[in-house]
Amino acid sequence: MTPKSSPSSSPVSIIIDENAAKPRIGFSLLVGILSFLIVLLFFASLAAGPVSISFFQILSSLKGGDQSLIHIIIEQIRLPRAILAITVGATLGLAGAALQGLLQNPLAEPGLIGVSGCAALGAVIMFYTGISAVFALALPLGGIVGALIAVVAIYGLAGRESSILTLVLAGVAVNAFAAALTTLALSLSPNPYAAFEIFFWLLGSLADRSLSHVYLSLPLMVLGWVLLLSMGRALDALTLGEDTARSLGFNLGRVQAQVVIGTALAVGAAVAISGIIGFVGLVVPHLLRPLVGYQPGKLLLVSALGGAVLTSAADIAVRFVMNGPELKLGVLTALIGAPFFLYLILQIRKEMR
Amino acid sequence: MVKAFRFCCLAISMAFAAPALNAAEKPQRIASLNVCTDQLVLALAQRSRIASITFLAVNPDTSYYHQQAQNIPINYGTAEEILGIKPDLIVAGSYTTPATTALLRKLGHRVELFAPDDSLKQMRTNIKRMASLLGEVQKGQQLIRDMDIRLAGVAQTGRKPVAVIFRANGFTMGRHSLINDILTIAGFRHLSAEMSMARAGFLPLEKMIAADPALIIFGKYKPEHPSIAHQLLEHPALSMLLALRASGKKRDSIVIPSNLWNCGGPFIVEAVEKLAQKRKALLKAEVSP
Repeated sequence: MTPKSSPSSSPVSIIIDENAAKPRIGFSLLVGILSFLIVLLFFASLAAGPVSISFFQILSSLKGGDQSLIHIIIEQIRLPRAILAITVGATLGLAGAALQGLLQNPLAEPGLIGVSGCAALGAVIMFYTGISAVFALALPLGGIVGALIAVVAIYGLAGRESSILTLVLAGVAVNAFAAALTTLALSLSPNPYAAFEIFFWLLGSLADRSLSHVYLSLPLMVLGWVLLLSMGRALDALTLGEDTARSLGFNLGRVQAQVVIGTALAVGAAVAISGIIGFVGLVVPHLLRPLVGYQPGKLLLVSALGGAVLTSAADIAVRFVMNGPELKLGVLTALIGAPFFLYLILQIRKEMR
Repeated sequence: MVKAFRFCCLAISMAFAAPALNAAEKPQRIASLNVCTDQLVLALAQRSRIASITFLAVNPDTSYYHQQAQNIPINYGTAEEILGIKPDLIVAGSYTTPATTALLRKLGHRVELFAPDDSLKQMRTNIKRMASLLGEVQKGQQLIRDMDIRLAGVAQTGRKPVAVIFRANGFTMGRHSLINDILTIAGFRHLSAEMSMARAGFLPLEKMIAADPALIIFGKYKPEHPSIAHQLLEHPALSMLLALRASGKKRDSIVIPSNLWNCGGPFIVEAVEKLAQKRKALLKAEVSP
């Protein structure tokens, strides 16, 4: 990935071609496979639950019409869950890929650097003070403000092209602070149940969310996706260094602002509904990066799709792990993600030597 | 060392416990360490004899006799608080404050433990035992008699609709619970018991909807302070289920204040009567839709 300047009338596309290591499979094939997996997991998610419902019943209740018990279960309980697993997962995968592209840092991930943690804090404040009960939109907005503060703080603390260590340390600090304040806010609630909900916020879950959560979060997430997905070319150009990117006509300030705001919108709205689901934004982009020839631009879309696949699969798996209150989703993603994180650190150490 | 400790215990027990024995049947400084023993003490003993009750006894969410409990010194279940008030009888739950009660016994106090009221039978046993400990045997008999008269007035004939209790987080009570007996005596079938849940557990929302009970009894605790646990009770799937009009079946919901049946006591009659009334309305609505 050594930057080369080349004279051309359409520089960006040429650079992309030069930069590209040979991907093993075609981009559209990869997108197709991931999309197919999402559809498959969507239906699997509708079929998985304590009440057994046949595939035929699922299809007929999706078509709507009859108001039966099965219809209520599918439409009001399982459908929002299946949708949120896809949208929250896509958000985390996409935000991970975008942050890694912008910060030029393989460990930039919404959970690791504290963006999810601060989003949870913002949502917790809105929810437990009762503000979101009066004004529902306050819940995702609280998450977005929290996420925004975190991204700006991380940017201020670590900066662009900082060392991997600085970024991770800044993330540890922001995360610890957010977790402490979240715990404090929950402990201060007079409702004894609130203190137990620390598990929900720090480990994430999609159990028993409703369609109103979908309506609240989806538009804001989509807005964030649009901002992030349109950053492809800018992120490609950034791999050549800031000066080159600037000479190619990209306004660095605007690029930074757009990634920061896009991340805050999508991650803030997602975490406000699901709690913190860690490591998705780390694992997915890393697995997919070689498959798109190490191009940050192409990585955005496939990471979003891959995040949806991983989160949907994990959210189906948690329903079968134990009886009673189900396992928190973040536990499963951390079980997958943390060893992966360690593996990445070893890789980075090898490269540094 | 052990000897010295024993001697110490003996000395303390003589200092504290001896007056209790001398005062014959009626203890004069009663301390209660559990919200359910609070209820029985408040129902049976004169106020002047109650030296300490738990902080939950003054809370209307958890205690039926919260008004009678005002201005009685409260404790948080620690040994220090209890030692300070020099009680001659300590009543406590058999599970709730094991470390405290063990310590108080070691120090020579008379501690009487009460099993949780997990059935109407256990509740009667507890009332009788508490009455005799407090030297109020007659009052205890009177309480049970009054209760039985009112319970006998609750009609049980006719169809038995299915009811379920659904608390924050989907927590529900099983076959071996006071609530199970209360539902049965009010003329209901109990969903969780029929799902062979033993004592208590979590009922997944969709499983409850598939079972389609006629009556959902919501249990809330401080719902004015938001929690995700209570958000479940407002899930749109529940209101859709209750609004369902298929096959002429009538469905309804009710909130029974938790202080009416979390503990056993004369007040459970109120819970039974509220439920029996609801059942009457349900059956009537099914006959003439």
